[in-house]
This record gives sequence, C-alpha cells and structure tokens, in this order.
Amino acid sequence: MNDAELEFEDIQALLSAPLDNSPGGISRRRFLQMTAAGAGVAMVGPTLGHASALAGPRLAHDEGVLVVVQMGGGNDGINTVIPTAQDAAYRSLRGSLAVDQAAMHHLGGGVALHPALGQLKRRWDRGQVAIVQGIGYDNASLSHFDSMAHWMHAKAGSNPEGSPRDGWIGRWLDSLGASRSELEAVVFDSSIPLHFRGRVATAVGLAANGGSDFGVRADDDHLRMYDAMRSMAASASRRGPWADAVADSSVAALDLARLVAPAYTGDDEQGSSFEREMVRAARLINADVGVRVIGTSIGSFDTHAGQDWQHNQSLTEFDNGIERFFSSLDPRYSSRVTVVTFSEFGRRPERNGSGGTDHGTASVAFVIGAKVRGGLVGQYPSLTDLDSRGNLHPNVDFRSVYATILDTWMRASSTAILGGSFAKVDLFRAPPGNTQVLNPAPNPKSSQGYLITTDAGAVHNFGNRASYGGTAGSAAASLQRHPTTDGYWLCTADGGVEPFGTSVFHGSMAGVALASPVVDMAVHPTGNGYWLLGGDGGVFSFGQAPFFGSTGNLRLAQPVVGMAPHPTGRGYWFVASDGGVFAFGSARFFGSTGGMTLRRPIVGMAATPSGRGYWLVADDGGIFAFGDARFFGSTGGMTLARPVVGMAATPSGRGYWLVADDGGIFAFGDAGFQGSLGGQVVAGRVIGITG
Amino acid sequence: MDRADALHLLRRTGFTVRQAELTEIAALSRNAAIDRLLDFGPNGGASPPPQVFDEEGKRWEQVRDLRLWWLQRMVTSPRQLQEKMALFWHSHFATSAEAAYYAVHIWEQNQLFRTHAIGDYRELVQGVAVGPAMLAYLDNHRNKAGNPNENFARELLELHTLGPGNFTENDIVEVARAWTGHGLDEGKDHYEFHSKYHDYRNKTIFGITRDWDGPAVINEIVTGSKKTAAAKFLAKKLYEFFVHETPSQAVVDRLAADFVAGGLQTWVLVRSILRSDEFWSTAGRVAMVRNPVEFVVACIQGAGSSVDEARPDWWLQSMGMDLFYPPNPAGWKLNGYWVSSTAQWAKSDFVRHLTWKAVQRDHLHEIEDMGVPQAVALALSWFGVEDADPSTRTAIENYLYAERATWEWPQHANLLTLTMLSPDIQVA
Repeated sequence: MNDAELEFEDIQALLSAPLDNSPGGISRRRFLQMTAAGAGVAMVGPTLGHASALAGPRLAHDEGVLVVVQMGGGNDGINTVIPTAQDAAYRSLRGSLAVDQAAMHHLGGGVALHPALGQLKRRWDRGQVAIVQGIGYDNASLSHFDSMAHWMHAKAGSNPEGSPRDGWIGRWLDSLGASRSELEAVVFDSSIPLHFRGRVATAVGLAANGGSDFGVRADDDHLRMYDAMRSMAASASRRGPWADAVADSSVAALDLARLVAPAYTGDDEQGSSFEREMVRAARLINADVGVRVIGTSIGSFDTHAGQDWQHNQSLTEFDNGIERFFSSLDPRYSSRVTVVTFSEFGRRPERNGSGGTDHGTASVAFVIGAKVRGGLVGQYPSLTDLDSRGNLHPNVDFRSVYATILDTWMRASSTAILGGSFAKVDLFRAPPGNTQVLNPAPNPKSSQGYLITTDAGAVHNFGNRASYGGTAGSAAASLQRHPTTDGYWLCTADGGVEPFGTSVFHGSMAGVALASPVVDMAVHPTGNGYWLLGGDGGVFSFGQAPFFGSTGNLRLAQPVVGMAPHPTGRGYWFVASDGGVFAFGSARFFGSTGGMTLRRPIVGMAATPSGRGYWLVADDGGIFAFGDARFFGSTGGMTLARPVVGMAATPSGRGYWLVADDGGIFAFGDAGFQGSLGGQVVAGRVIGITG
Repeated sequence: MDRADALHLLRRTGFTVRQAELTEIAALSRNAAIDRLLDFGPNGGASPPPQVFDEEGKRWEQVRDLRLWWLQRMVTSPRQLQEKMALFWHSHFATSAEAAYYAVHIWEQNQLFRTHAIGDYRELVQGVAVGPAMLAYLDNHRNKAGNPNENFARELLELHTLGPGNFTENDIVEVARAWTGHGLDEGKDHYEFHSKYHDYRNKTIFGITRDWDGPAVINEIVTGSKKTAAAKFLAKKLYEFFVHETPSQAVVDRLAADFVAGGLQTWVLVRSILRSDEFWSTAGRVAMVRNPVEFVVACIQGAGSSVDEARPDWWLQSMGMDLFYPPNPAGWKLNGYWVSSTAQWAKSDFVRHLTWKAVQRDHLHEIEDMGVPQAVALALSWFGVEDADPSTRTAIENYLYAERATWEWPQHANLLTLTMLSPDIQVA
C-alpha cells in the first residue's frame, strides 16, 4: 500500500474500522449473545441479566491492569532516548536536530531523555520506568499502515503487508472465554483500533470527548424515564426477539453509563486530548468496575519536517499525560497498573533536508509503573552499523515485550495469543498487587482503631484513631469518619453537621424545619460529600454525594434507623427498625429481615467493601448478613447489660465492631479490640461507632 | 388490506409512515398497494448540493453535505422505496468515500443507485463497475496487464454478484486479467479505458476460454451461464433485507425464477418478495432492527424535524454507521449488527437533541391538553407505531401520569424522548 500521503488520523481510521460484528464498539458479551440470537429469528430472543451481569466484579488486588499508549506516526526513538554514548555519530547524523547535551536528562548507561521528559525522568529516578532500547522487528515495513498493523496484530510469523483482522489485546480478550465484565478492555474512541479487536471479542469504545450523561442523571424526571425504559424491557414483547434485544441493550446502556460515569467527572477540558484520555483512564481504573486494559493514543510523531518544535510539543504532551495519569490514579490501585507505549517505527538516524527525519525502524518503548523494574532493557542499536536503507538494526522483538506483559502482568498465555514463543525481557520486579497481602495470615486482627460518640456529642478515640473533639448542644445522631484521612463529621438530630480534623463542611440542614429528625449519616467515598438520613427515609445530599432517591414520600411501617453508602458513592442503602432494606442507585438489594418476625429491632447497618453485601445489627447484638457479607459472630446469644446501638465494618470487610449504649465494644472477625468505655461513667449514652 | 398490513408494508419499504399515505394504502388490496409503491419515475430529480462539484472543496465538508442531502431525501421523499433501495445498494456495492479522488464520484454512484434502484440489474452492475468511486475503492484503476490487482475481481464475484461457491480462485485471477486497463483518466476524474494496460490474451473464466474483457464478464454473470446463480444470490440478499434473515432454499429458488423470467429487472424481484406469503406471514412480521440511518430518519420525520435541524450526522458514526464510509467491501450487516449498548448511548444523545429542537418549535403543544392515553397514542402514531407493544404504551403512559401528578406545569419533552427510545421505534 502506498501511503506516503496518509496522515496519522487516516491510518488510525484505516486500522479502526468497526468489526463486522461490532458496530459502535459492541461488547463481547453482547456479541456472544447476538450470535446465539442471530441463528434464526424463530429462536427465543436473548435475555439479559441486566445490571448484575454488567457490573464487572471489582478486580482482585493482584490482577494486573494495563494501559497501552499508542504513539502514532512513528516516534523518533533516537531523540526520545538519546544515545549519548554514541555522541559523535549522533551529532554527525542529526546535525541541527541533535539535542543539546546540557538540556537533556542524563540517565546513565549511555543514554539521556529528551528535555521535554522531565517528569518522566523523576519517575525514572524512583525506579518505575523501564526503557526498551532497539525495539522493533526484522524486515520492517516503512509504511505507516503496514507497520502499525504489524505492531497491533502482533502475531508470530505474520506478514506485515497482510491485512490482519485482529490484534493482541483482542486475542487476549478472546482467550478469556466466558466473559467476566462488559468493560474488560476499553478505548477512548468511537471506533475500535485493530489491537483491541479479537475474532469474537472486542473492546468497548467510550466517548473520547466527554461522556453522555444519559443513564446517570439523578433527578426524578430522568429516574422515572429510566424506569420506563427498564419496564419496556422487563418482559418479552410480541414484537419478537430482535426488539427485545434492543430493549435489553437500552437497559445495558443505562447500567454501563453509571459504571463509566466516574471517568467523565470534573475538569475534562484541561490539557491536550492525550492528557484528558490519560486522566479518564485513571478515573476508570479508580472506579474499579472490572477494567483490565485501556487503550489511549497520542500523535502525531510523523516529523518529516520541522521536527524540533513538533517533537518537543508531542513529547511535552506525552510527559504531561503520563504524569497526570499517575497523579490521578488512586494510590490503592497503583501497585496493579502498568503503562506501556508503542509506535509503528522509529525514525531514520540521518536527518532529511526539511529539518525532519524520515521513516526508520527500531525505536524505544517505555514500560512504567510501581512494579516495573526500572532500568534499561536491550542494547542501544549502533548508529554506525546501519541497514541498506540507512536504518537501525532492532535487537528486541516487540513481541518479547508483549509476551512478558501477557505472561507476567496479565497472567495469560502469550504463546497462544501471539501464536509463538518469544524470549521474555526483564520488565517487572514483582507481579501485580500488594505483595504484603499476597499471603495473608489467617484473619489477623486489624490494628485499626475506632471512634465512638455519645448523644451529648463527646467523641472518644481508641487505638490509632485521633480525636479532634466533639460538639456540644443538640443531640448527636451519627459519627462518620473521613474515608481516606483521619478526620470525621458529627451530625445532629436537627440536621446540623460539624467537620473535625481534615474533614470539610459541605452543607447541612441546620435551621431547616425537618419533617423527621436526622438519624444517620453516610459519607461519599471521596470524602467530598455526604448524605443525611431522616427517620422518615428522607435523604439530603451534600457536596459530591448525589441524590439517588428516598422513601421520604412513602409511608413507612417503621422508622429508618441506619444508612450505608455504596463503596462507589453511586448509591446507598438504608434500613428500617423492622429490618426492611431500601436500596438506591448502584446499591442493590441482597435481602432483608423485613419478612421475618424479629425479636429485637434493627439499629444499624454496614456495607461490605465490594458493595455486594451488608450486615444488619439488632439491639441485642444479633447480626444478619446478606450478599457477600460474612457472619463473624454476634452477641445475639448473650445477655447484654445494655442494648447495642451501632456497628462499623473493618476496611477489609472481614470483621466488624458493635457498640452498646454504655460504650461497651464487641469485636468480631479481623476487628481488633482497642478499648472501650465499659465501666466508665460517661455523660449521656453512646449512639454510634465509626472505624 | 388492513391497517396492520399497511403499517408492515410501509415500515419495510420506506423509512417513515405518513398518516395520509397510511390511510390511502390501507384502502388498497395488497397487490395494488405494492404496485403503487413500485411505481415511481426512473430518477426522481435529485439535484445534489452544488459545493460537491467544487474541485477545490474540502473533502470532509463535501461528504458531510452529501450525507445531509441524502438523509433529507430519505426524510421527505414521497418515493420511500427508491431511497430504501439506494441504501440497500450502497451497502451491497459498498464503496468508501475514503478512497474516492473527488466527492462528486460518490454522488455519481449514489445517483446510479437511485436511477437503477429497481431497474435493470445488469445496467446497475455495469455502471457501478466503471464508476470512478468503485474503480478507486477496489483498486481496479491500478489493475494492469502483467501486474494485475485482484481486489475488484474478487469482490465482484464474491460480494456483488455470485457469492462464495459459485466461482473458483482461478476465476478470480482470470477476471482480474479481464478487467485490466479499465481505469481512470490522468486527472483521476472519470472512467477511461487504457488499451496499453489491457491484457488481450485468452483467459478461462467459468470454464470458457476466450479473450474476455471486463464488461463481458459481467454480462456472462448476469445474463449468461451464471444467470441463475446471480439471481439466487441477489434474491436471497433482498429477501433478507425485506423479510427476515432465514429464507428457505425453496423461497429463494422461486424468487430467483421470477427474477430471471422478468429479465433481471429488479422491480420484478422486489414485487415477488413483497407479494410472497412469507412477507405477510407471522415470521415475516417479526420486527427487524432498524439500522442507524433508518432510525434517525424515522425519528426526524416523526418529530416533524428536518436533517438540518436535527444534525444526525453528529451521532451516526457513534451509532456505528458512517454513511459513505462502509467498514469494508462487504458493507453493513443486519439486525444483531446494530444492537449494542454503546450505540444506544449515541441514540439517546441524538434523541435528546432532537427532543430539545422539537420543544423549541413548540411541537408538543397539542399534546399538553390531551388526556394521557390520547397523548401517548398520538406520539406513537407520529412515528408510525400506532400498533406499539402494550408494554411500551403502558410504560410511556405511566411515565406521563407520574409526571403530571408531580408537577403543576408538567414538561412533555421526555414523552418524545421516551417514545423515540422505545424498542418499537428502533425496529421495523
């Protein structure tokens, strides 16, 4: 193919034609259903398990996440990672394009980074950047299209000038077999580039420029509309299976929108498109909705003319994008995320007559992350021993990098996916995840402390938790810690809210006449907002905490007594004293004691960290566990001096504390006992505990 | 024919259902109605946007304008079947604007699809083959004696006329040789035959050895020894387009026989399909998924809008259907090809934009004073689905009841949004 005049965007388009079976980025699960349904119209239409099947399970801590950055147009490896050890040859070949020694960032080992890569240099200094030198493949094509297709296809022995139909990430998706998540692989593009397309599976394309808010609006009008769409899909219609499949896909779209919404919040408009994509990628990982691979792209690096300025510009955007990615990434997940870059080729060592460089062969690739073994991989190609076209000889096959990533980081089978065996390279010092957690001792007691509060607003701290004081005056209703710092909030029955420590005030109902007093509070997982719960089931939301609905307009048989936020912040539950559970937003209903006859009233609840379960506690200390919440013991069989008034789960979800109104503490599972008020004389009575 | 029959016929043969036409058609017998739909002039007087002829014009603007122009024809043309067939041919002879040297080549091909929409099949295949759009897209302009390019030859046999199983790999090699020299003039502006690039030696095609030339191969396929196979290939594909995706061999054979007996006039084949018992059977009425173009056109017409106002081109690519940019030479597929949750987002955004425009026009004025069932019935009839599924009707009615119970001045905008996002509008 003669593509001398093709622009980067054209190449992307050529390599991004929608899969035959996947217009608009149809999901693999959806596609699998469609092949079944498509066998004949007489078949019963596909049925879809709606939200439950869509919401990918949160990743295990040791599941690797990969971000694949495409540097389109052919990045000049020689000016990206500059061979200072071959300075004479470099300056003679590059002439005016040679970078000033004083401006570059020297890495040792005979190489230096381009001046625009200052932030990457600091990451290198922390040992988190591997640089693969001389990466490429033999008999390289110098055509953008063919060579990019080769890198994306990445199959052993394939002809770069063929017309491949699938790519390495796509084949990885294929290899997973039964799907776990709609969102396993994602690109921020309306069409799916070749490397993310498999034979049967393909990545989901998410909007590149701001997401749709359809499906995530929380006002009553929209919620009613979503409900109407769900009810249209609730049962098979007389329109036939295809219409039912369309109805199901509407519901799937609503659910999917909620899952990816966190990627589109906040300052989307800042920086280049690459930076925005990288921030979105980080947010999507933070949302923990089952994403394993994300594709982003930056271009163009096709610097045939005026390279000085253009390359500096592109590398600056690259440097910013990588840095913004890691600074946006939730530190909890950084140990399972790796970034890898690729480009279709490097550029020719000798500069051309237009202040630029022409298509070359070997280049460099970056592998970046907390578990990466920082350093140089492979030998820098010689600038004096060139091929017949005046280009570098590669010495690391790019599929060796893919093979290492697939086997070590993704725990997949690289030989099956790449169609052959490739020598591994040393890219990682450890597998994904926090190695401390890899082999946990059997249910060790958490060292986590806790805070309890009395109705007089006094706050008592135990273990490693700090107290910043309490409130005086109106009756306290709930004490909730900040999710990520040691601050906390106290709320009072009249709707007042007071922040302590690093917590921030986001509003309150103080001074407003309430139909029913506030009984509990829940904090958004970011700490940037909270909800107050009235005894009539009315919900008041503040800061970033969205409103997902309430029972304020229903007549409840019993007052509500406790509330728990969904760990994503996209929903919440509350519980009434008869054990009835109300679920809103992403929070799902896993069961209740509403139908049982309880000996004692329910007084509180706590959710598991997965958002897939919760506990209810009765005032005799009886525990009712639902969903993935496990039972670790209770005081239901004991005779308590004073009634239990609240509970808090440990961060792991493998334990909980109960607190009685005299300040007595009962610790179960991995919840450690760090002291109690038992036996002390306390003004007022204890009303709650927070972890 | 009853109204249910008329709705089925109009939804399958056009993009929209106009109330006046529905009433007229329902008063006819099935056969008379079909004849009425088939009876349109050869061309339809299509004048393209003038900027398409500007050689200096920006390609993306020209293709955008062509796209808007064609979509608007689909919305307003009284010859709905003509535009429907043009869309069928666009996918059947898939040609991407990406490869075209000038945007006007795309318009010329599009006009050919309109002129021969249900006309002489041989003339259509011949016309497409030497159109500059196809010559460039499948590289036939690079197909030269001694250095043949098989791209066009392969797709001509496999995708355009015969389908797999009706030719050999050697036929492709030889057909490519027959098509050598059929290219473009030096300015890449129009078809030109270059005798110096043509391979005049003998070729063996379909077992016949002679000095084959390209157009003669097409004649051989469509009117000669491969006539039956070609007729069956198109009969099956058109049946799948109009009726359902699983025709029996007996039906295909019968339709192909009609097609051949009718001298390979496409209108004869379309008429046989529409008159068939299968088209009117329960299986034939099982709803098929509207492709994104059919969907946006139905929405625009139903909402009383226009393409200029609604700008469906902003969302069509995200829905998966970039008009004039088919994904590959095989074109777009049917039904399940169009069902995806991410495409559904694009539909939602488009529909909300369209709703907003309709509200600005005060389009919902008459609905505001109606009772809920009457309001919903009217909205459904705007979009040609007065026979909507009860679950759709109930869901929209319940929405409107709740809306009116909540607000003193209820907004009816979402009534329109919800109607367009119902499964009933997304199928036909």
